Amino acid sequence: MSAALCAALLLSLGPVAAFAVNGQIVYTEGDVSWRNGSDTHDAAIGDAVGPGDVIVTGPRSMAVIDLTNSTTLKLKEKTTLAIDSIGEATSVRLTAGGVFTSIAHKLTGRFSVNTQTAVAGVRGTEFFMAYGKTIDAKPDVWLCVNSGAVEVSIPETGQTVIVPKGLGINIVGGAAITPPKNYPWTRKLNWNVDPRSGTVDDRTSLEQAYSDLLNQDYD
Amino acid sequence: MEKSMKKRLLIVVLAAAAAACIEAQHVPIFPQGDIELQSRAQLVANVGSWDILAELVGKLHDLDSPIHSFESVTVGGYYRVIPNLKVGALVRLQAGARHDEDVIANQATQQWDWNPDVPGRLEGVLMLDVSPRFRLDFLPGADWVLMLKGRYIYNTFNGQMSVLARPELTWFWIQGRDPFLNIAAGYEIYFPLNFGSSLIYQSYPWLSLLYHATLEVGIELTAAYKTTTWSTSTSWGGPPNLWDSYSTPVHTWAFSLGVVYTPSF
Repeated sequence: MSAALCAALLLSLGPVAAFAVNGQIVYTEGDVSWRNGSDTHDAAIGDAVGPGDVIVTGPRSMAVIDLTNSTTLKLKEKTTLAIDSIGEATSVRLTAGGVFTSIAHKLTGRFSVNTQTAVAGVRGTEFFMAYGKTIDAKPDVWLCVNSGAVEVSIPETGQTVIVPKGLGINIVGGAAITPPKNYPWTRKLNWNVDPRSGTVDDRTSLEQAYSDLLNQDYD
Repeated sequence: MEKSMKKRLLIVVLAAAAAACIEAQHVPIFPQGDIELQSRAQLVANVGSWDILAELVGKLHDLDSPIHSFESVTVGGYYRVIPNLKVGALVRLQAGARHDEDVIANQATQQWDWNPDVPGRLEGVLMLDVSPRFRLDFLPGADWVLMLKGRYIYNTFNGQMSVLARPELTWFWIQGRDPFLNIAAGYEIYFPLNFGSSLIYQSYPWLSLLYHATLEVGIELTAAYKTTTWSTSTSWGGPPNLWDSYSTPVHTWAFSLGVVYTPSF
């Protein structure tokens, strides 16, 4: 291998090395921005994001972010997600909307999604977490697992539930985790996070997670 | 003289009593307080604003006398016009339904019986349904729904038409955010449009419990106290027209066990 080729390779790896401790926006639709402190940027494919950055999607918008530890995050519309840390302990904070998490390979280190009231610690590869309605003092948080398992806990109460593949839970009013069950509405979720494999947009409404008492027919 | 008057009075009283007995024998005497046992399985598949419905019903009654059975298959659908209103169209194929005309008079014995052809007789029924619903969250417990169902029913076998009116109040016991148990009470009234001699053909209060075994499967238990008014049948009131016409309310206890499957797509 020539020295020039080695240099070219090193140069080409440069940006990748830079992303080794960060993440990258790999897909967007609609109105997506990210901010660090008071600086706000319109998001573009290829933008590097990392700890301290907050990604925001507008109505009918979405974004896909690759983190360097083989984790992909897909943000639904009207979502605000902050990256707290990336590395041995990767942590993101969801303050609005919903996020799909997909881990392509065996996760090294720890990964968690935090909400106002609960923490979802990843033991598996694919799960969805989103804010629901605010019926009580704090909003509901829904979580469902497509593969693997996720440990959900409420630090305030110490309640912990492991949610296995195919099941979901609701953190009712941010205060109590329901027993894992098979929620029909989760079958409509679009788990794909790779734009090359097809559409990544997910239009599932969390409204469906709530029983519509006016939509009951038993004869 | 006084003895004679008493004797005459006694004769008059006895004659009146005898006449009353004879008259009583001139109308069918229906058994009261029978028990009806029903089982049903229902599918209601939700696709957007549409609900596709299929229902199987099996019923047994006259448990003390020769057991009579009723079976039906219903298919159809509802469309949700606005959140508070659904309209529906349903078709039912049924066997074992009894009508006024199925009271058969035996002129020789002056007795009556049900038409023996009823059990195997297939009938088609068309139904148009309108079901407005209202949330009554101001009531204690919050999760209340009032439904005022109205249904037009046309029996293609005998051309009989009727209208069902059913006010129904349901309380949903919610656990987490999901229904755990529905407790419902209603009153069902069938108005005959072109048959019978009474304003109401059948009416009954009922109470129902629906336990949500899963988010899509419910187990239902219903109890009702039915009143059905049987009116003079053609064979009874027709020539030689010797017997009296009648309009007799018959009371029945009815219990139903059901399974309801409600997937959504």
